[in-house]
Amino acid sequence: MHGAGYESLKHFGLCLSSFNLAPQHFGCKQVDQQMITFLVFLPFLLGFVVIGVYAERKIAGFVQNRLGPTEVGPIGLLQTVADLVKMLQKEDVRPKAIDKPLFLVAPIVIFVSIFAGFAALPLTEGVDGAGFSVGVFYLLAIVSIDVLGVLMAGWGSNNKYSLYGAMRAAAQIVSYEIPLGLSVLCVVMYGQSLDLQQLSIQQGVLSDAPAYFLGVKGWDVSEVGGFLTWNVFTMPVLWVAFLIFFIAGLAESNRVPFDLPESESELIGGYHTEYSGFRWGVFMLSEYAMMLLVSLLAAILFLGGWNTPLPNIGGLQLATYTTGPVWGAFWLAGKGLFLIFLQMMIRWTYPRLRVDQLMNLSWKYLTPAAILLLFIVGIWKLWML
Amino acid sequence: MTMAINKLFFFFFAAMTVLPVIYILFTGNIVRSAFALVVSLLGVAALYVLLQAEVMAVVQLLIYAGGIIVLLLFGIMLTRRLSEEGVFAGHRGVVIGALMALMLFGMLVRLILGSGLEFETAAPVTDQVAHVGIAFLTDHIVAFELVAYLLLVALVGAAFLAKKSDKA
Amino acid sequence: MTAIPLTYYLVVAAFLLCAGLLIVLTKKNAIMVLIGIELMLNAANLNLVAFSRNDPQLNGQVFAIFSVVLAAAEVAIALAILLNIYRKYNSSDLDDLNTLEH
Repeated sequence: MHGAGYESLKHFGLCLSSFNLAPQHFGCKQVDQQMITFLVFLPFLLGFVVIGVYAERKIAGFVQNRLGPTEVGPIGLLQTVADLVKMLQKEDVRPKAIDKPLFLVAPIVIFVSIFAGFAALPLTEGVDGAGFSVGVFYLLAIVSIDVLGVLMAGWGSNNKYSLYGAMRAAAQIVSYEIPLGLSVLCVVMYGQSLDLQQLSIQQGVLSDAPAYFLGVKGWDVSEVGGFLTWNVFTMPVLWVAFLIFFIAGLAESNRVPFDLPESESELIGGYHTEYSGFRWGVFMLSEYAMMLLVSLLAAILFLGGWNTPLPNIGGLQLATYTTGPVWGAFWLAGKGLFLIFLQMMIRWTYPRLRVDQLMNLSWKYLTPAAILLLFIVGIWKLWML
Repeated sequence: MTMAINKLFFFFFAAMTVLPVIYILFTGNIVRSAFALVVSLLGVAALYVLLQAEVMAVVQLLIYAGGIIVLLLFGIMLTRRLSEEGVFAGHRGVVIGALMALMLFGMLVRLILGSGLEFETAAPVTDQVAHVGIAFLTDHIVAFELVAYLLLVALVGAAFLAKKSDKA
Repeated sequence: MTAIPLTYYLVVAAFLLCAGLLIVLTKKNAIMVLIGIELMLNAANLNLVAFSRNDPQLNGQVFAIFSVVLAAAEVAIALAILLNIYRKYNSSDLDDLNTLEH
């Protein structure tokens, strides 16, 4: 059992864990986490949008049994770049009767409020953004300010249809914040902390407290690590919370099947009818930013954050090898991108919901389900103590 | 150096709180007043952060900026005609009102500056969320339960009051 | 952060209070009056939180949180009433509400 095979496995493990030392090879001795958070998020977001738009069109193509962009660049990779150049050189059309300050500031308010939510996300083991104790509470609060941007855009356009579209979009966003917040509250009650870095640490090999697989008190998996310690596996009721969070997150970022504001631009108007060129681009940028934020938040709250999905099996300590600063960022990015892939697949699979179906879904189904779930998680947590 | 940055932050956020209010005083445009109120409330939230009251700052953001202002805007948009004149509101009794408000402000500032109140140099509480949460459920539990009940009553009442009556 | 004395915060709160009072007294539209009321509530909250900086029990903050919640409930009811007034009198000007029966 031991011997050459075991030695090679140990060497393999040491190779894996050596990736954590990668930054030192590039010369930076100590990873200064606040500078990273400050410098990384905006370029990462912009790069993600460029790749995301391309991925969306390719996925749309494959779902619809066609090829998607193929002309510009090899397999169409430069398509988004071409689209960006086209959009940037378009004229910034401003109708004469707009309310100038509101009209011009609205896209900025939406983007800034969503981008400010990224500050609370912990990227990896040492890097926890702005590590304050009100983490996820702050995130939910600041993201709820984008409703004001929507209303500014609708009112500032001085257009009846824009106003109605904006009010419907605002009603949708405000209605779905409730199941979103309640499902986050389930996880917070389970993890006993609002700080996202604490919630991430509890879901992996680095935690001190015991974690019981499926909540059964005999199966302490905090040494085993891997996907067994994720929140959805140590407390299976959280799968329902994950589902509610995912649906509410889709509605918050105005994705199909909840994209009433966008569909209205095909039908009548919508709050971004009067916008053109780069200002319209900022609206689309904030939609992709919200998608990324919701996916990353779901990955952190439910799927273990930057923890590895590989468990420690006996001698093969895969979890300890693949946990660390660089590995953590890789796992978090992977989980977030997988959830974004899911969101894109859902977009091209489901039809759009009508506004009354949308409101029904939130108030009559998701909110009571989330309240019931909160109750169940509370009882479970007290029982487990 | 840190002292100067603190003062800079304070004056910036105090200006962010005070200037929109001056705008609201002088304008008749209701929608722009509501958005100016948002800026002012965001400034107040920032002042709470400077006072190291992080829970209160986030509560202010969530409830005031994300909730009450949206309510106000919906109220404006549902009670106005969209014509240009529909958006402006008038004033009455400006001079006497301004006189009284100025007198009140003068009196209050004189009281405040003459009182000699100061911050104590004790270190602030570190884990404020836990502290406030425990305070809600131990010292102030009666108020907590009553406020929950009151919110339910307000929710049902507002929904009932705002619905369209069946009589033409 | 004791570089900024307490009196600065209290002066800002006093300004908000007086400005809110002025708005309530002079503006004719009901929504502007509501805005003035919100400013006065914020002034009181700012005072409470400024004083709770000294308090290890954080009583001021707790009180201010209750106050914010009550303000939210009050604005909701006030707007519902305003909607009803608008439907009946067809204007949201407070000076037009001068008859007991319509």
